[in-house]
Amino acid sequence: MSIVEVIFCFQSYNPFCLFAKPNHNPHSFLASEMIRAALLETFKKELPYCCEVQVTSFKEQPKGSLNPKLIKIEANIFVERDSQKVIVIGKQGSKIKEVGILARTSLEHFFQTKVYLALQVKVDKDWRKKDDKLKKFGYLK
Amino acid sequence: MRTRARINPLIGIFFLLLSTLLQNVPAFHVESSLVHTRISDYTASSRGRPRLPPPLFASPASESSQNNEFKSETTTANDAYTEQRKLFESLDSSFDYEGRVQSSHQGNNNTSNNKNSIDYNQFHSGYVSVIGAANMGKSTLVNSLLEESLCIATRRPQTTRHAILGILTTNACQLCLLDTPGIIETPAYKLQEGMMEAVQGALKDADVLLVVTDIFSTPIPNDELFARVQKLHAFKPTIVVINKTDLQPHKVNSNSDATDKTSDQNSDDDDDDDNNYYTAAEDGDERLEKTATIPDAVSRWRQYLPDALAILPISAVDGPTNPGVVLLRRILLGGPDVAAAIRDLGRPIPGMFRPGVAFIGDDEARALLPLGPPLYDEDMYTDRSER
Repeated sequence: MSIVEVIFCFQSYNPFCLFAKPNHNPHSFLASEMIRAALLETFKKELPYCCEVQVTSFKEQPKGSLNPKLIKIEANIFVERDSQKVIVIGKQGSKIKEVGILARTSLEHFFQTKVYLALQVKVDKDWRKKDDKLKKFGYLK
Repeated sequence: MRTRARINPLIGIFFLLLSTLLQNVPAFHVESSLVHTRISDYTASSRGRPRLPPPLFASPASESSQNNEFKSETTTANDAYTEQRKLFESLDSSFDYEGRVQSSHQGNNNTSNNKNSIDYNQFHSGYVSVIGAANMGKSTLVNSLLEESLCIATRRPQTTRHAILGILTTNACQLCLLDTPGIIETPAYKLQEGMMEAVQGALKDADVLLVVTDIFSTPIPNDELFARVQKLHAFKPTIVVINKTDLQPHKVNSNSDATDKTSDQNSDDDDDDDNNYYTAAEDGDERLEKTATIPDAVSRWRQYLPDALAILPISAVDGPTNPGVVLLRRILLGGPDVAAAIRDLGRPIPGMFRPGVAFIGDDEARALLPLGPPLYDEDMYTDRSER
């Protein structure tokens, strides 16, 4: 193993890496996948295929706090159009609530703790067709 | 980008120096967890496989315990291993690819750090790429092989978008299962192109190919990729999985049942018209003209991939206890007792194994994965402190 390879190793796997990507933490990636699964379960036809989930913060409570076993997750759901945003949220937030409950129960089952999940729906116009957006979500390099 | 290029080597060297000084500082341990998802590394493999360090910082306690088990096993089967080693050295071209960590290299590198750890010369590790058309149950299969609901699996096609890595480590080998997005005929938009690139990367990385199809013998829809699989399977060990065998008696288009999800994410509020939107509308009747029984499907795939090591009927939805899943896991992990698992599967189907071969022995199964040190931290599977 040459020194260059060693450098590469440390760059991508060291905990102090300065260039960590938002999704680099495997747990937050898993969380985003579970939220996406909930979207696939809740919505019909093509809508979930237009959605992308990005976890913006994944925090485990510090040990001394009141509720040490809680994991706080904040995530954005990106849709392609304004009209889809309305569908995902639903009347008075009924649909997003369904999604949240489904995702939270599966997250709680996986991590074996209580989970606080905050979802926000955002519009990212035609993200499936744009190179820069796909790079941002990690589909292209 | 310029600043990155300038800063990174400095940081790398800094950590290199730091690591030599502070090897026992717990904060510096390579972060381990159940999953390692390397999205950016797999979507496009221009840089190839990431160079992973050997588990330099594995905890000494676990090493010693694993070491004991290891010694006892290796002394008994030493002759078989030396034979395999010779075999592998003759086959070096087929298992040599960019970024592959060679076992001999590791041995030289780690002499100071891992003197009393696992004998890496006897360890097998490698990548198993799970590929197949959309909605064949690849994620479900990976989940039941890992006995863990790691990849999300729903009844809808195209659920998986990234190549997801699941790791199964035993004291003799490490299995890196690479779940990939389902192959589609023509990518409709950029996202799907990216997903197909993930499949290409997984094909490139694979030490063992796991081609997943269903009882209707749905082929790999993309001709280019299918040709590549046919070419690859001549020199990479390939196992074909005929999934959804639980559908056999019905002979109806009840895909929605077959691709049902595993365990925890289950909620049955889906309606059927929704599920058939993507599956039945595309190829509902057409698919029924294809094979409908296991022997038909096996012979069909024997024609497609004549050199396939095994063609196994599996029902991945049944979970880890399904005899097919048990057999597949034992083959990939190299035992123990592959023959018994084959017996449990039931009556042998003609064409299940290569012509003239009645079964797969433990040694042959063990030789599937290349010899080499673990690619990931050994504790990754057992480290569940966060769960």
